[in-house]
Order: sequence, then structure tokens, then C-alpha cells
Amino acid sequence: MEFSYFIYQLIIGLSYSMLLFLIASGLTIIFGLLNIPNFAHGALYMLGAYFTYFFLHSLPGVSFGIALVLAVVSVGLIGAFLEYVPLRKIYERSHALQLLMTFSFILILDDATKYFAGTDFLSIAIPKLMDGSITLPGDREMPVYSIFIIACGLVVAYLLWLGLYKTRLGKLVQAGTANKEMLSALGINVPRLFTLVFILGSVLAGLGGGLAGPLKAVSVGMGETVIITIFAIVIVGGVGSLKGAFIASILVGELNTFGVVFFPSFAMAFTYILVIVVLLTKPEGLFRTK
Amino acid sequence: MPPKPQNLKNPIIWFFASLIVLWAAPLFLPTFYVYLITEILIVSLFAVSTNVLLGFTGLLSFGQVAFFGSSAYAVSLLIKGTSLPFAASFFISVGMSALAALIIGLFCMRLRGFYFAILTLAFSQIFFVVVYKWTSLTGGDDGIVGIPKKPFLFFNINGPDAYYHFVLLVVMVSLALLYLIIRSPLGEVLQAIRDNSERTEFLGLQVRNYRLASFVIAGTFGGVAGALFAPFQGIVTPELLHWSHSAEPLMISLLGGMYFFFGPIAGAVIFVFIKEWITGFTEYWMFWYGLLLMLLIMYLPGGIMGFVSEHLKRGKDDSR
Repeated sequence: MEFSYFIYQLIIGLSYSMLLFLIASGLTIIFGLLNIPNFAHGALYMLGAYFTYFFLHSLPGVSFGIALVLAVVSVGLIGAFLEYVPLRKIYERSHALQLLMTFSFILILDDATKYFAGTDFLSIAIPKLMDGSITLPGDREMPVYSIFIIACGLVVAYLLWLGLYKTRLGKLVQAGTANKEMLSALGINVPRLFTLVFILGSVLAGLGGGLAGPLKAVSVGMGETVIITIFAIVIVGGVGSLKGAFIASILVGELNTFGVVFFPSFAMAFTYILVIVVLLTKPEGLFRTK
Repeated sequence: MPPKPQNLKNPIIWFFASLIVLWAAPLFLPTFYVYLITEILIVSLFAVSTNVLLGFTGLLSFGQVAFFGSSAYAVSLLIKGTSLPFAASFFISVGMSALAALIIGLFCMRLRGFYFAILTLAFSQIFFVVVYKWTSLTGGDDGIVGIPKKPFLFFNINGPDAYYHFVLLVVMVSLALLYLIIRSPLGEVLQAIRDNSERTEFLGLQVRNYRLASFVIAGTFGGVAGALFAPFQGIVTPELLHWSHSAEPLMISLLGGMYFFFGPIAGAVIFVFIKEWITGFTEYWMFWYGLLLMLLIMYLPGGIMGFVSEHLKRGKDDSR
């Protein structure tokens, strides 16, 4: 393999990794604090892409950026509803029931999307500002949009880190992830904190979906495809760990990108093998600090 | 706390009564309903076998399609690719499911809850990838089509009524076996593990081995359901093995009531009829099904059977 090609694949892999991180960061924070393994996180990601498409095409003169913001807000509202109405009822129940309930969200959201948007694959044009490419050494064309995704991932990672470690809200989330009873003992409004965090997680999934829109065909199945990869990242990184999710995203993203290059027919299985190995050897995740 | 299951008063009478009634059903019902009941029977067996884990051992496996689907593929390949009699293909496929369950089970036994669910899911997805990508053997995305209903031993099972009778016999015998297992000392231990695994361990029982036994039982009968399913549909596709299909027997168990042996059967009847009924006026039946499940988990986590038995009990208490 030529070195320039290696670098090119590395950057492509990194942009995929950062997209995964956007989605996985939301899930790991929700899972860490609320202790809900949210299967529907992939459906929220899918909704992010569909809403972006919808706002871009139904409102006159709307740019990609504004459509994305509107989409993210919409997904956040749906997340708020899911947390406030059904999930709130089952926090004390087993993981089994919680998983099955979030699976029922997938059925509902998928079919609702089919009803409103149809089953055809949709495509979102890359915003004009980023519709070019940079020539890398070895005459490889790197799309500007991929660089933009990497930048988005890094900015979001930094903001989440700031929010989690430098604000009062973030400290509460950390404390709650470690010990939930203590929070309510301290007089914190835990239900409100849960709602806020679930909205934040949904927003991140929606953002990932909106940004993925121009890269992939927007389809109803995209949520189910991504959610297992995202669960894999959350497990490999350690549930609730932002740093873990970041490193695991890069690991999974690059593994998939290079897997397709070297073993095209079996690359699909790499993520599952990684999850199996991690669960069997270090089920608490590779980077959990606790 | 899960309710204590009620035993049937006369299980043998119930068994033969329902067998006779269902055996005679094609005399009165149009072919469409015969077809529908065949589907209900297969789905019931898959759901009851999954529920041995979910409801009676307290393990959420999201990988049961690995056994259902691989058995369906194995039986299809053996029917189409070899001259083996169907009975042999059938038992080889079921045996392979049992073996697969034993091997995967050995790995999965150390984890619980969500991690167990994801580990079983990951294993089943490996099956999915193999079937999806090994195009020369499995036909890849196109699947295997035109699977014939070959005679089983000396019995001709070709045709909707004949195949229905074959499925009915196999499913009834399988359900009877599962019922006996759940009512046996082994079944008692599994339920004790579900309710409190530490305490069961303190009793000196090897929780791990019992859980493994439960996993193999579920996988084996899931394999029986899969081997019945392939000739019934006449086609198998990789979607059978996709993880989202694993949710089906779980949701059905939940719908009917996972703490009841007959819960998943009730669930399967409702599931198949809802599917037929709602698809009659909208193709978005999953939306309504999802909504029903969501409301069920919120308000009736015991499922339909839980609801009914609660009311029966209340009625009895009132009359006293």
C-alpha cells in the first residue's frame, strides 16, 4: 500500500470515526446517567437526517446549516417526549423491559418516517461552501466535507468535555453516573436532569444524522445499521465514559475503513468480533476510569 | 416479583383436546386460515423457546435468530443440495442449532443483563454476515428459493393441509416437551435463578450450568421452529438472521405475558392476527404494533395473560 493512500484512508476513516463519535457520545451519556440502553438512539439519528432533508426542501431559501439546526431541535423535542412520557415509567424496571421498550420506539419512529417520507432513498446535496476537495500528496482528492465532519467531531468533543468537567450541570451528570441516590439526597431535581440529558443525547444523535445526510443515502434502515456499531463503541469505551467513546469511535471507525480495504468480504463482521472480544475479556470497557 | 405459574389441572387431556380440535380445523376453515394457523404455530414455538430464557431464566437473549435462522438455512441447503430424506435433514439442522447454542452459550454465560443481550446479538450478527456474504453457498442477498416440502418418513406433507398437520404435530410435541421441562425440577431451578441467582448459588447449585442448559434448550427448539419455517415459506433470506428479527419472539412473549408458559402462544396468536388485520387497511402496521407494545410495557408489564390472571384472581377473591 502506498503511503499516500494509507494517509488518505486514515483521514476518511477519521471522518467516519467522528461521525460515529457524535452519535455514540449522546448514547454513552444517556446510558451512563439514566442507565437506559436506548435502542432507539439509531432511530433518532435517522430522524436527524430526514428532518434535515425535510427542512432543506420544504422551506424556501433555507441553507443546509439552518436546516440542520431546525432538524436537531426537532429531534431534541422528540427525545424530550420519549423521556418524559414513556421512559419515565420504567426507570426502576429491568434492562430487558427497557431494551424492549426502546425497541418499540424504533418500530413507531421507523413506520412514522415511512408514512411521511416514503421508502425511497433520499439524498442531500453537499452544501455549496464545502462542495470541493483538497488535493493531498499522491494526487488524492479529499472532499472538504469529510474534513468538515472531522472538525465538527473535534469541536463537539471539546464542548462536551468543557460542559462535563467545567460546569455545574456537567458535575451533576458525573456525580449521577457514579451514584444516583446521592443526587436526590442532595436535593437535586433528578427527573429534570434526566430529561435534560436525554434531550442532549438526542440532539447529538440528530446532529450526527443531519451531518451524515450528504454522505449516505437517507433511508429508514440507516438507524438499525448504525445502532449496533454505536452500542459497540459505548461498550468498548466503557458505559458513561466520554473519553472512552472518543477513542473507541476512532478504533471502530478506522477498523471498518481499513477492514473494507483489506478484507472487503468480511469487514462487516469486524465490529461484532471486537465487541465479542471486549465483552469476554474486559466487559467494563477498555477505558472506563472507575 | 413474577407470579407463581399455575399448572394445568389435566395437561394430558388439554394436550389431546387441542390436538384433535386443531387437527380437524382444516375441515372447517378456508386455506387462508390454515396457512395463518401454521404460521402461528411456528411463531409460537420460536417465542416459547425464547421465553424459556426471557421469562423463566431471566436472560434477555437478542441472538435467538442465530438458531432459528441457521437451522432454516441448514435445512434448505440439505433439502436442495443433497438427496438425504427430509427427516434426516430436519434432525441434522436441529442438532446443529443445539450445538451452536452450546458453543455460543459457553461464551455468553459469564455476562448478565444488557451485556448478555449485546453479546448474543453480536454472535448472531456474525451468522448474519456469513450468510449474507457467503454468496456461493447461501445465495447472499437473494437467499434460497423454491424449497420443496419433501415427504417426512412415509408421510406426504406437500400441500397446505398436509404441511399444517405436520407442523401441528411437531409443534405440539415440542411444546409438550418444553412444558414438561419448565415443570420439572430443572425448570424450578431456572425460575429460582431468575428470582434470585445469588441465593440459588448459595444452595450449592451451579447457576452457570443451569443457565447454559436453558440456553441450549431455547436454541434447540428455536432450531426446530426454523427447520419448520423454511419449507413452509419455500424461501429463506438473510433477513431471517438479522438482529432486528430477534426482537420478534421477545416482543411476542412480552405481549402475551412472559411469566406464563402459554403467554407467548397467546402473544403469537395476537401478533399474527394483528399483522393480518392491520395490514388489511394500512401497510404501517409496525407503527400500531410498536405503540401497543409501548403502552403495554408502560401499563401492563405482565402482558395479556398477566392482566387476565390478575382479574380472574381478583374475581375469585371478591366472591369469597
